[in-house]
Amino acid sequence: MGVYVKSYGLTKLGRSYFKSLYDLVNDALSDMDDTTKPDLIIVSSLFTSTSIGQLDLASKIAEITGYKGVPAIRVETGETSGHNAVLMAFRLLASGQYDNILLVGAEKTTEFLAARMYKEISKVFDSEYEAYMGVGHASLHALAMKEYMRRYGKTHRELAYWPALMHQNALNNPYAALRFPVDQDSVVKANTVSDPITLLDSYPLVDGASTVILTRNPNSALAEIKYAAAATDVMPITHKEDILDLPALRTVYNRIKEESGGDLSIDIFEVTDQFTITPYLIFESIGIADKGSSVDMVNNGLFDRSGQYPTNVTGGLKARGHPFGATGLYQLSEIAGILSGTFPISMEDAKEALILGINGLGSNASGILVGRR
Amino acid sequence: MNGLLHDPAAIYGWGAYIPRYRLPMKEIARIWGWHEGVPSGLNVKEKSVDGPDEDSLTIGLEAAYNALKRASVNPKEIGVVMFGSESKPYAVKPSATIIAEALGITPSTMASDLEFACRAGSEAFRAIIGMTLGGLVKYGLAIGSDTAQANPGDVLEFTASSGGAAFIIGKPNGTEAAIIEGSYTYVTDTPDFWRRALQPYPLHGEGFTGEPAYFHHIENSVRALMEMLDLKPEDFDYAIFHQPNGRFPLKVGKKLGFPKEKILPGLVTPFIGNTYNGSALLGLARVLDQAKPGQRILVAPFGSGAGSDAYSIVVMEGVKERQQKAPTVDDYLVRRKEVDYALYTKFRNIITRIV
Repeated sequence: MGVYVKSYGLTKLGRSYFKSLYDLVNDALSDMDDTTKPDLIIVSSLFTSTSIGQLDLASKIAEITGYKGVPAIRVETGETSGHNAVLMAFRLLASGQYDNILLVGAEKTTEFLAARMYKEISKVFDSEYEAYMGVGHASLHALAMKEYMRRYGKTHRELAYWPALMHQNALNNPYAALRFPVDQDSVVKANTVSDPITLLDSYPLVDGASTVILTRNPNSALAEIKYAAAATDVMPITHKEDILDLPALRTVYNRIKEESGGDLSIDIFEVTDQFTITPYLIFESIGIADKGSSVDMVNNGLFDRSGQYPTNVTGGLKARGHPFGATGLYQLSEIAGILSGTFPISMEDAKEALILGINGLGSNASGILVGRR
Repeated sequence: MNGLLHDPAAIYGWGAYIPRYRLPMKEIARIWGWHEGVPSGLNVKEKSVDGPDEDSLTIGLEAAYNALKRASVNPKEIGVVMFGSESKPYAVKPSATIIAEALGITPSTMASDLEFACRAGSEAFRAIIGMTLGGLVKYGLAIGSDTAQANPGDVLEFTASSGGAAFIIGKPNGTEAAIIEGSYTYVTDTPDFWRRALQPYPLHGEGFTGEPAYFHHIENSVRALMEMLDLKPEDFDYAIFHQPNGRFPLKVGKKLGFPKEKILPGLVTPFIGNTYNGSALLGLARVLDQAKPGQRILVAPFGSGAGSDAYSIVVMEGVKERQQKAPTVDDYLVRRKEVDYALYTKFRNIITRIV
């Protein structure tokens, strides 16, 4: 029994000063333009208990979307919340318990001053050992980036191929937050956020919402969810065996590979590139690149849209933006859109796409295999 | 009614004052560990710092004194003094009365202090246009002056500086320095920057101070003024915008169609920082210091909270005889003495000595 993407809706990512979280959700619903009544709503959002002061957000979302009475739950696993919302929906639909599930991912990150928001974001790491001590989202990635550059003798400028590529890819994505080109030198020279990470090595803080309807009904579906998997790893980075390794994500990747009969033929990768270093860790952890070799592969254009492993063709978290709870659903929406030819960016020969997400430096990992209908 | 065309009003005198002390941006970056790209991105080199015996009132008084010298009017004919500032020495007690008294304007005068973040001085300017045109008073004195506060270590500290400008306004009589041919004000409740009562430093909404505040309000006031007067950017020889940093005025100018060359003569922030209520009015003073009869000037101050005024000003023959009657803005710009962060904290009472 298959699970399919029936429809999706997105808002343009950016600073939505004059729209509430609920306005954004309804904007995404309008963009989706599908009034299929769901028999379950799964909401994905990280910061709303602080940013808008609301618990039981799922019930509120059910009410404001006009689905009062429909059961609704919220999934929260840090930066993989959206991915795990999809995983939950996939399993529930595959079990035959539900027919149509509405996924709602939404985040409002510009309600407060940035310092307060970054304090919230630091909680994606271990609160006891890391966030409490003042460790920020960028600083642990900065440690990983520094160690990567030291261990493999790579320069910041070489790594900066990635953010420059993401800005290039985002130029064609009307929903992206940062639609301007940058070059590798300007990435290196930008203001330091946490050495060596600069402003242009980092994702932008954005507001946004995405809605997706997953269904068991294959008729007129946009794409098929072929499989979804998740795994966890230790929380504090001091418990990790290697700061540059993401074993949970490797488990997810191998699981998806096994489910596909031991062979994967991925035409588009979509990964969470919170910071410049993150995609390199992802490629090397799942084994499509040897340890220390992904920077050369990226610099040789293998991950460009025309390369062997087209990745984040809509701009990634880096340039499209990272709306946290909504990020996984943006990824799924864009992939379903590209595979079905309903997104402004098209890749006609693409048949299969793999979405990979991690929280922090890999404490939670999730993957979604999506196929063309 | 706001967009109503009014009779022309006149500027008789203008005056500026900038304290002599300068704190380089790199010194602030050194103390607080800022990346060098932060101050360089602001397009400001150093900021003016008020001396230990100066405050917004003394700065406003110096500027008003210079305006009076240029105007050559009898102080007793000035019927209103309005002091726009967000750093008044007294929370309660008017500063305008002290200035009016010091200049010999009292007692037959109105006098009050105005507060609207960075545009209170401009509100004074426009209110006095109405008072003089309506016949309530013969001349009025509008002052914008600040010793702007900023939380040490906050990005605002780079630009918050000290300075002021003053203008004597009345009905035209043929001898005026310039004619104000039209004005417009655009105001909304937009809380982009504020200081609560009894708090020492203001807070700001970071990126929210840009697009929805500064740019939205200035663009709307300037567009409305140009539409009202049927003028285009090409009709102006100078364009002066509120200058919280050295970058925003050029950006808003570009959006409105004003080339860099028309903005730079009135852009003083790169040399002294943001003098808040001085800001755009100091830019106007600098342009009047050098303008020629027949030239047209656009001035668009902005204040957080938020609002923007736009004025179209035509320079008249009377400007020439007045330009050298008092120190120019450039005289104050070149009169500089560099201080380090330690002296700055002493001058600004950021460190407190218990006695």
